[in-house]
Amino acid sequence: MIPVTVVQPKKLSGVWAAARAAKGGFKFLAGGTDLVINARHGKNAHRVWIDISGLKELKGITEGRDKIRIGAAETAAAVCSSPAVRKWLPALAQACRHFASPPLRNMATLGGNCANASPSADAACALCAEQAAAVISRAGKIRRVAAESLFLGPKHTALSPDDLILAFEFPRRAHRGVFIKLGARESFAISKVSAAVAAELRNGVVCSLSIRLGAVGPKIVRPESAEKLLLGLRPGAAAIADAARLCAEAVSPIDDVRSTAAYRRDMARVISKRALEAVLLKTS
Amino acid sequence: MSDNPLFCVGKSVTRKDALAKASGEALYIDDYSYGGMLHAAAVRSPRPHIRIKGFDARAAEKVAGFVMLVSAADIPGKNIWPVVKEDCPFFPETESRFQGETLALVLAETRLAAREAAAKVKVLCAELPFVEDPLAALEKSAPKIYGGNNVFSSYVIKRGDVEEAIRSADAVVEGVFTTNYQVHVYLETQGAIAFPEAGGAMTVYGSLQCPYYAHDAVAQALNITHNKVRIVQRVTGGGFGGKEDVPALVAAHAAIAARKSGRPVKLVYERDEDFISMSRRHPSWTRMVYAARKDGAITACKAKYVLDGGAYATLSPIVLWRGTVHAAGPYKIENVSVESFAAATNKAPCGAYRGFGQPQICFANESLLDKLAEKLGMDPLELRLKNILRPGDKTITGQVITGSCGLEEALVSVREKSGWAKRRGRLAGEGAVKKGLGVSANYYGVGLGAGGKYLDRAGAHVSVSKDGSVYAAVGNTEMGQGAQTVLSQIAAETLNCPYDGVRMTEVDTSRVPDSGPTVASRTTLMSGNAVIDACKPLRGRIFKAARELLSAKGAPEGAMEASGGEFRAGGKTVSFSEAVKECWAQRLKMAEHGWYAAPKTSFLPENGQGDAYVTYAYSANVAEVAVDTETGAVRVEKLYAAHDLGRAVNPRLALGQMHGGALQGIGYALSENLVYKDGALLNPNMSDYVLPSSMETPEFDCSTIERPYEDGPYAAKGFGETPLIGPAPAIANAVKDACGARVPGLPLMPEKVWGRLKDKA
Repeated sequence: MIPVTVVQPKKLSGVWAAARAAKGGFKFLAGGTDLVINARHGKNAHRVWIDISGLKELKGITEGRDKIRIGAAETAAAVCSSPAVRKWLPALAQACRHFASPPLRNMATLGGNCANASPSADAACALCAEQAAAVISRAGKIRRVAAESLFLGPKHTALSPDDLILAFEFPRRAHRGVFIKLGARESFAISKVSAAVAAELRNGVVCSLSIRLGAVGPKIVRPESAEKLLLGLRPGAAAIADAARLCAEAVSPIDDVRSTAAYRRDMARVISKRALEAVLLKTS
Repeated sequence: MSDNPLFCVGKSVTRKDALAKASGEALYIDDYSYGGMLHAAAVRSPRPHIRIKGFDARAAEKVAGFVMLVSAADIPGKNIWPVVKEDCPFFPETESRFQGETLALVLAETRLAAREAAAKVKVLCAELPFVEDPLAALEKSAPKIYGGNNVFSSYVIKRGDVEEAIRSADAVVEGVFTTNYQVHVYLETQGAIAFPEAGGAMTVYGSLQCPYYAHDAVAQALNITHNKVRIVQRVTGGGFGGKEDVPALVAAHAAIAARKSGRPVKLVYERDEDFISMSRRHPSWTRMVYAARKDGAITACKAKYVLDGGAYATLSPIVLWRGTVHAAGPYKIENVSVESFAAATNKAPCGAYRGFGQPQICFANESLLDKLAEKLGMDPLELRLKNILRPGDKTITGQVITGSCGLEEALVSVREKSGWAKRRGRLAGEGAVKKGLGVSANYYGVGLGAGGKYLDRAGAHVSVSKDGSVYAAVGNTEMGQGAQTVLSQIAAETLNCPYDGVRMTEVDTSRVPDSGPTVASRTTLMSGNAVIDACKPLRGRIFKAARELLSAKGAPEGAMEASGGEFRAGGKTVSFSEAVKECWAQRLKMAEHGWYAAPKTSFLPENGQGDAYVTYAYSANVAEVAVDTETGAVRVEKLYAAHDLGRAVNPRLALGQMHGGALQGIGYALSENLVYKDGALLNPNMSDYVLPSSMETPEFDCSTIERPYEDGPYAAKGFGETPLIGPAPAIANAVKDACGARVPGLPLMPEKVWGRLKDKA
């Protein structure tokens, strides 16, 4: 652990001043659940942390006429207990409920989970399936991009150091969604494989579908061929099994300390099958 | 001891330390701080095997607060840590044998400065060839890191003619089984504070199980006599064997640094340092054969048992010995051949972990026994019942089992509770989930036995103050297992004093003579008997005074009832404190030392025959599991266990031992997987070394069976380790029952179960 200076701006405008003042570079501090651990292991040389966790511009979960907005500094616990998220973003609500442990869920933020860009990040996987747009500000200038486009590789994003995610915005649409993960433990485990699925059905026919798989590639995987296969169908178990096989073909997992590539590939099939069944075959 | 019914032993009184630990009042080593105190941080070996050429500390010296570097050259005494084989230096001088070994310490004014400076010390070194795999280490061509053959120790047990018995058997089964490391992950990491005292003396406070090991180590490192060393245990946040040997090294490091700097020195480990360099359970490899007659009588057991000892011998010889003695399981078998080896490898030394060499071999023998049942077409639980040790039977070392043996009752208990006969092989699953039941039986030699007999004694000092309060000091430590509670109960019972009137504190080596280590489930037995020995003369005086006071109050002479801290006769009552006051008025000696030495054992290392332990604890487990056959994930839904422990001094604490031990056994069985690659530990953290959580905790159905051990305190034997030993093979056998996959290597990671199921399909 190196000594760090934590700067706590009172307003968003103070962030940009603090950033300019930090000559040797800085990091944004939100929940700190990755940042602090990394710093303890000497993985982060930045000695100035700008604490954004209390900024009201990054807070709030609001249900608009055609949009749901979640402040980037909202914690996983706040996200999964929000009625609006539960109603409109079911896959995200479930991902946040299965995320880490209760103490970590009380600290870790949605923005941090995204900016850390771990391929096994549960909330990030669900954000992609829920078609989130990230609202990003650099020195006060705001732009909107698809959240998915931020991920370039393991711990590597398209964000520049002074890009701050303010919020995520989602289309307000009634849909079904599910998030399933496989970890080394039932709770408080890093995913070996995860699947987030969001789908709209009209009269039993799939009219929109997004499938995202976590921890099975350098970034969140979108198995497009599986999505295409099911679109326009009134899917049964056989079609879902076929789609699940396509999901397994789309991933590029690795052998590491948590699991093996061969196991992860087959689990990409099993978990996406279960997720698709849960979304597409349920009767309600 | 007493004709009166027991009022305290056998009762679930509240733990002595419950409130202090639950409220946060308890002070652990890192809670202490002293004026002038320096902080130490370790400089660790960067590679698995190096020649040390020196240190470049120029960058470290520039860190504000840096004070000095301490290394081998600063050791005033002999640079050998006194454990079993004396092969491990306090600080290596020319050669380091594992990645993460402490090479030197940086002392600084703050902890942050010490860590930052330690990270900046450059180790000048040349890499040497290293060996990671224990079987490869035993090959002729392996790089040699211990002796001429990398064998720390080796044992044999020979009985009858095993080859002939195998030839003439009706059924023979063979298997190779492996187990991985297990790390204690005690909540409190290792730590010590050393204080230089006048006249060259040294006092060390620490989080430890075995203060007398630290006592020996500090005396040797500083080249001072034993009477100049004082080790004081602080409230210890878990041990499980992980604070048996290695805290002596931590204490010696702090003491060497305190000697050189002339200031108090605190050395507290970070979690990853603890993972990388401290002890852990040995990985194992076992090839085993069982032979049996058609009727199920086991006629032979042949085993080769190899432990991966790591870079230094430390406790490997005695861990291996315990595993060797128990290798064939709790069965009467006429023909036995066991050979065992502890191999040296370039990884952190393995040592004690609850079960001490038995969980490994128990996984092998109990898995293979199910295979034998399958071959014979017998029910595996009935096969066990046919072969288990009963009073009068002989173990594989020829030891005759005494009356304190409740293994049969234990097996019958788990059979009945689990509904074994009706449910095994018939449990319904749902979808991809299949369910099954599996059984295991085991026995555990209580105390050090012949493997450590010179250490098997213990002292106690009991002092009764004039206000009627009692202070009991012992040489065995409280590390969460409940020693202070159980020993206080024994003192209260023996003195007839109220339980609340007895106080104990952590061990201080200046109060009680060397009482051996706090290991081997020996504390209740050894310190309990020592406490009784100290209490007996006090009891005589107190009881006599009480009788006199009763007479003075007009009670008739003759019998007196003594219970619950009161003495009663003829309707008159005298309290314990009144009796004590009278003793003080009579100027009687109200403090006594007690001592207990374990009975002699007759074991001969040449052939492995003779009495190995003074007595055994017995247990049986049935695991009920659910296997997701698509993912390979195993969930233990219910665990039935029964333990013969002689007598439960505190039934609630005994139940706690059963639950906690079983949960560690479940972690060992399913998820705890330490991964080494090229001599480097890849997961020194709690996110990737996966312990079971409350979500993995099954429903427990545990019970005690009390077959009194006459030499034990109030007939108790130790049993703290047995709950961990049986669950893993019971789970593996249940997985086989559920889905047909026999996984011969622990842990049963989903990847392995999935792999087996795929191979089968």
